[in-house]
Amino acid sequence: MATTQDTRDATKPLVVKGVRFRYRGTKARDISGQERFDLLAPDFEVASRERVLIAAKSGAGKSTLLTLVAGLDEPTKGTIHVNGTNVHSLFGAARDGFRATNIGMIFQTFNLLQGFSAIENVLAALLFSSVPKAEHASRAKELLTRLGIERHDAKVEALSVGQRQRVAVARALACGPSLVLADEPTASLDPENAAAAMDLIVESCKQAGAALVCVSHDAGLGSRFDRTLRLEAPGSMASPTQEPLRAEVAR
Amino acid sequence: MSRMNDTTIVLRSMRARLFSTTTTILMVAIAVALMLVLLTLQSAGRKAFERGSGNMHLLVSGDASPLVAVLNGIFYANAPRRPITWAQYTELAKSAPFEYAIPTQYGDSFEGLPVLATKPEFFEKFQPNPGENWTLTKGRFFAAPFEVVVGDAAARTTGLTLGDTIHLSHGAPQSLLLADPGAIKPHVHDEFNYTVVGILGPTGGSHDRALMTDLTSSWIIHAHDRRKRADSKAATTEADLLDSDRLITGIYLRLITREGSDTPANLPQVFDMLRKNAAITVAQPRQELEKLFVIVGGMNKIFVAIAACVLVSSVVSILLALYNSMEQRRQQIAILRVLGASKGRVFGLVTAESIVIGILGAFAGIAIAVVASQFAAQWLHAYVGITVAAVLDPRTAIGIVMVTVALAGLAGVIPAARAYLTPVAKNLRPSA
Repeated sequence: MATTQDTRDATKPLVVKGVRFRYRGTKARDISGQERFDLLAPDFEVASRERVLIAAKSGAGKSTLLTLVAGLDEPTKGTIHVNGTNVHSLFGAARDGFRATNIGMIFQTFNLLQGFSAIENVLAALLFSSVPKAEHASRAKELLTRLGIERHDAKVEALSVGQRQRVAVARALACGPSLVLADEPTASLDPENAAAAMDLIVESCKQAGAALVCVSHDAGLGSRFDRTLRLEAPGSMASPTQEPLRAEVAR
Repeated sequence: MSRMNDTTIVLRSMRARLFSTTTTILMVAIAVALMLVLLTLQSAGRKAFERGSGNMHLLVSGDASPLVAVLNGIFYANAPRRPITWAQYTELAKSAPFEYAIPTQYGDSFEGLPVLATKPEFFEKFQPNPGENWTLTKGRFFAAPFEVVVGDAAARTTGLTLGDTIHLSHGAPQSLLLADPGAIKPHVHDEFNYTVVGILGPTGGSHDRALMTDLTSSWIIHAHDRRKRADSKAATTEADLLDSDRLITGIYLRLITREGSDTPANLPQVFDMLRKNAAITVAQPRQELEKLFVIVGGMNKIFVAIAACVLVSSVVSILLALYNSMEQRRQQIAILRVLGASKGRVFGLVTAESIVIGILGAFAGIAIAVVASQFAAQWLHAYVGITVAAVLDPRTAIGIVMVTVALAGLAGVIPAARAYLTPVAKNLRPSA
């Protein structure tokens, strides 16, 4: 069994090894009797401050990979280390606390808390983290100001799409995570806004010193990233042995 | 300044479903108020009954049963049918070492309120509440025939004040609930003027809604009726009274007791001795009231049980409101989980919301109960004739708040479990 703390990987924000995932209640073997998975993740590592794009078509399991990294689902096989800690060796509140402190997440539809103000959304991320309470308000204000949100107390429903995106970025960076996971952050935006949003996310993570792992169906975003990994749906694999997906270094 | 903590999340969640939250709180409040009003009136009603018998040990009357004697002789339910002669009274008063033997006569009324004719020692020796003497808010006690003192509630009802002249009606009043519109109107003794000389302080008992006058004046006005039948122009004074006019309907008895004790050792013997006289009925008011409470106690329990069911139903409404809201809140719960809220914390947030609704409902219920108890007390006084001090017992109120909050906490468990089990990844997707 993997240890909770792996000193070899302690400096790396993310190490993914042999991760396989199969949804509960689905068949474990295919017609030929081979073990079947819904996600076959490539082995890869993300260095500190590195920006990695995982490009894939719909159904390849991009979002599932991120939920596994965030510890929101259990991999069927393999290990995921974040800052040297095997995420899935932690349980319950310990894992939730680890996520709050080490991982920030940005979503396609922002997933902001409706009925709460911009600053309350950022404060919500700090509420469950290990950041001292005395720093919460100042940190939230500073982040929102830096990201161009002037109306901190405005309800998120009253903000424009671009402003909501900024609040979502501020929330992801609030607890000073070493790893930010972005799940199709530009999928619902037009090309112009998508480019601006992606620039914002990349630049914000760079300024915050966080590594960024972004999943997207749009491989064209790759120019902003240090590397691009291509993820393919298990069903599209030519090999019946279901080797791990190809990890392709784009640049 | 913006704050973000668990309380903010709970209150914001409640505000997001303002209509549902408000109606749920209102349902809990009504249920709590119903329970409190019932318990308060039950307790206050019992105290009001217990207060009526004051410091007497025994009540003698000509009524058919001890319970009826108590209801008529102390609570003015009806005018006793069978009178006691003065000769019977004087003989009885000498039969044992009584601290007092106060004659009373109840058969007249004023504006629907009972009038008790008695002797001045009624105010000197009979205590309306054990250990508490009569008090006056105005004037003095009566000292001569045709003087009247007015009970506290009676004074407020009639507006009578010192120096007012009134005429009494023959017959006991009927409460408005029992009044028969077709009944013959009572005869008014308008030949004799009664003067109000005193207004009594409140006792919290049945005597508050009565007027008290001198026994001799009551004998005179009834003797006058007799004499007018023979001579329509006859004038009647105390000198015209016959033995047959000197009738009473009750005797308040108190035995001599040792200092520091309210229960005389010879009470059973005196009680048995008096019971041997078939012409009278002897009652121990406290025992009779106990019997009465046993009889009506079962009914009270049914009412309280119904109120408890209403309370439980209202708490179930919290469960339903929260449970149904979980469908809309799945995404919010998933977001909180992503931000690092543990399953236990999410469970706690939903349970806390249920408890907050319970607390708000319980306190709103207390406020409603305070107002409703006053209205109920006024209604009981006006239509049933019972004077109750409708003051909420703090211990009862605290007890009901605690029960309500505990039930609300339990009601929150099922929706909280649903929140606990909310799948996070699934509810973060755009289609969720």
